Amino acid sequence: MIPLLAVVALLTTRSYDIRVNVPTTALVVDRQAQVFVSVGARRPLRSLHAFAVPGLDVDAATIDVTLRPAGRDRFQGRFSLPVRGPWYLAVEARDPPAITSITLNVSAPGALPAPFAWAIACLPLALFAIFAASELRRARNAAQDVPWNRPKTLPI
Amino acid sequence: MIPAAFLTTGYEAGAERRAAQAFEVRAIAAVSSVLALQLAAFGLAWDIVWHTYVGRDRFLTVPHVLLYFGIGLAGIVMLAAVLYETVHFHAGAPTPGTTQFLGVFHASRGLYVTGFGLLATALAAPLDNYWHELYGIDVTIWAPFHVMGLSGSAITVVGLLYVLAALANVARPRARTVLGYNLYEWLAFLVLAGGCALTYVLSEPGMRQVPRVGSGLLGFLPTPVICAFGMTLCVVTAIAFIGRAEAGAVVIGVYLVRQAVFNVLAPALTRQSVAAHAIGYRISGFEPHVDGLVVVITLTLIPAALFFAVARERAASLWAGAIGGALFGLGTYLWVAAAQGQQVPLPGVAAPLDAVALRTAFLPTLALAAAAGALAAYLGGGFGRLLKAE
Repeated sequence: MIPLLAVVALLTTRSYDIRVNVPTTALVVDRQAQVFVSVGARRPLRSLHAFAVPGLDVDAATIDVTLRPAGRDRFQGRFSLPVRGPWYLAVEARDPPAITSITLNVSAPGALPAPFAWAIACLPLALFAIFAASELRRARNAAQDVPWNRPKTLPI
Repeated sequence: MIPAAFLTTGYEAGAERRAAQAFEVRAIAAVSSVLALQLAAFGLAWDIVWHTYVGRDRFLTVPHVLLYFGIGLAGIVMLAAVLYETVHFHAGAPTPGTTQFLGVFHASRGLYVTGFGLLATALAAPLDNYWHELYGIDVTIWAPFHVMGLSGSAITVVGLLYVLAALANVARPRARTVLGYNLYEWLAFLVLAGGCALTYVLSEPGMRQVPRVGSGLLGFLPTPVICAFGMTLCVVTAIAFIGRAEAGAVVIGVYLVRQAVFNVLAPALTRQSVAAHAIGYRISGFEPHVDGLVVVITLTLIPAALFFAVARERAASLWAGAIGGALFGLGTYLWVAAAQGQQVPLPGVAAPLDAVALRTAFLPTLALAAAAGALAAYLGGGFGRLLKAE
């Protein structure tokens, strides 16, 4: 069942009517989302291809979305988008070519302040530094504990 | 002469047998962890190529699976080894060379350190994924959770060296050798070569994203300074631990072979995966290939490695560290200079340095590389001595 909240695009050409539906308006990064495509083709459809293109200022690569047949003239696919921000989900038919796209807004969990992130990231190194300092002291003691460094008489 | 076995009581003989068995378990844990981490290291090298040419399309890419499978496997093995040695201790048959931790665990120091490093690396993975979700796929290596993952890996290298050193020291008098080194010493070289590779990965933004820090006469190239520190540390650690002058050169030799294999395999597998999964490259025409220049330019590390072999027992001295560090710095300075001539159509890449900027930065870079090398020789000498006594 397709929920009411959805992003929908419709493309009508001389050869097809393509309806693209993403059943959510609030996409979250790395969460699976579904896309439903229904095609009204006036002649047999050779291929249908979907891909997600990052929007302006979204540092990401294009993601291929595999569409599988889901009944007569219907296709569906799953996808997840790895970076927050605007994306375009495009559906492309070939022979004759036609393309339609919908805009998706992908949200992410709240941003951790950078200094706090660095504090977390450096924690293992800080703990290791304490261990390394004690090991360095042990190495220095080991270097000093050689016969020619030992006192020849007792210090009393 | 009476064989020593006749002079020991039944209890002592049993204790010896149990100790030998515990050492065997530790050896199996060490060897399997090193192998699992080689898988992870290859996963990392492949992942870097994947990020560059395909983009970070999802978290569970094949290179990521390989990387985290290797880390997870090594972590499980280390945890099992700690529990095994702890159970043995509480059963009244402690493995020699164990230390107490948190009042409960009794295992080799190296096992704890390796486990801690692997845990830090594993914890960095979801945090890094979160950071990428926020800031995109081209987040620099100098981002918080990349640094956390890499420092966890460096801690793992240190821990594994402790484990391997203890095994190598016990095995040394009677174990079979190849070119004069036993199995555990070769594995230690492989781990140290991994340390060199980590240094390079950590310095990687210095190749194109931040090729120069500062400006004018105070401007320097960060990559040669970081590499001078890391590589000198690995080389001097090997010399001080093994006690043979050429051990450092062997580490660099193993590193060069490892890099050559990774540099050939990673682009080939990326091309194959892209074709098999019918996914596209992020930039049309920008496809992974074996970069002959990268393979050849790594040979510039050889003079520094040979210098440490000539310095012999003085390799851990400050002046030897400074000269060796400067030579490593010079080698990697040539890498950075060569990288400036290559066009990389990726976001976040700084404008290439021109000849004047490279020339101006030469002396400050070499001076800092020498200082980094001296510090690394001091630390590596101390660490190597500890490994020798482990």
